[in-house]
Amino acid sequence: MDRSFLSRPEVIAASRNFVCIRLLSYENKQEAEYLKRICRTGSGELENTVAAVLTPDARQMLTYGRRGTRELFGDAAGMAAFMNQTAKKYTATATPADLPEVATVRLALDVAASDNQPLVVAYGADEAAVKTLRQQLEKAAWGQSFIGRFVYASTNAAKDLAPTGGGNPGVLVIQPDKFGQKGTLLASAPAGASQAEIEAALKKGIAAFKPDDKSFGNHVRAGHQQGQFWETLLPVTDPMEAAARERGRQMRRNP
Amino acid sequence: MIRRLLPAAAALALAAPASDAAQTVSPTPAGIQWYATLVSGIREAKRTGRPILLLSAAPHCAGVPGIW
Repeated sequence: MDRSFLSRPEVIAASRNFVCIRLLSYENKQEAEYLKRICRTGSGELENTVAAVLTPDARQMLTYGRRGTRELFGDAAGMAAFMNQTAKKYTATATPADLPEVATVRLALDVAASDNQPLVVAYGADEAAVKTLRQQLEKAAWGQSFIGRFVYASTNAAKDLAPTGGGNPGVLVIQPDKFGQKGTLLASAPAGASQAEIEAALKKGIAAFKPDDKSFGNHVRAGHQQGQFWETLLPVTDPMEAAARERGRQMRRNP
Repeated sequence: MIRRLLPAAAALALAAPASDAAQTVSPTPAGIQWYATLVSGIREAKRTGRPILLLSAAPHCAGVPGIW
């Protein structure tokens, strides 16, 4: 994924007038089939990355589906300019409101590590409690203080929090480890906390978060040396990535 | 150029400072806020009337998690 575009201020600013969807390749069968239709590859299979712009009803594509933003836009300035021009053609009828959650805590921890951001988990004793916490987080997530600063997930299963040391029901702000396999609690607000208390916990989490200074080569090398390996739900069908994964497996077997 | 998708196929900031930024130290700047599932993202796009920036990527490389 071409992160250099996505971290540019002009692209981030332009993104505020879009709904930005970033799917996790190889983790959902229906999404994988959809992505294959968006971006047809030489192999005929889903490959690691896809990029496209669509209409609000998702029925029409406003660009071709391509492997990345560089193929679509050339550079970050081009991407921002296209997004700004596109946004002018649509009249937003409401502001985003839903909590932009990752499907599972496991996935969210990995995403948070990859994004170098804290993870926020709405952890409730049951689904009703999770819903309440989720609604409270929704009020905060899209405001200027917190937009684009967290990865979110929710659960009512204590076992999902085992990699992070567990926790009591409430809003948990978690620092992922560099491989997104464990986490440590930075801040929390208990179930039943007020909106102000939850937002105070989010601010505390932001202040306490320590970004990881990772470089691609060092991270992959260290991961192989430490036996870190991510099992995907679906087979990895990107030929280059599949080959790289196999080399990683070999390194684990023959350290 | 616009390409029509089959209906079935569609089924699946600048970071402005916080008003109390003086009280909060932000070690990392705010980024894009991503929806992580197709269903939730398309639902929000329809509801808000906003166009969709769609990406997919794997949060692991050469099998190592924690990096795109």
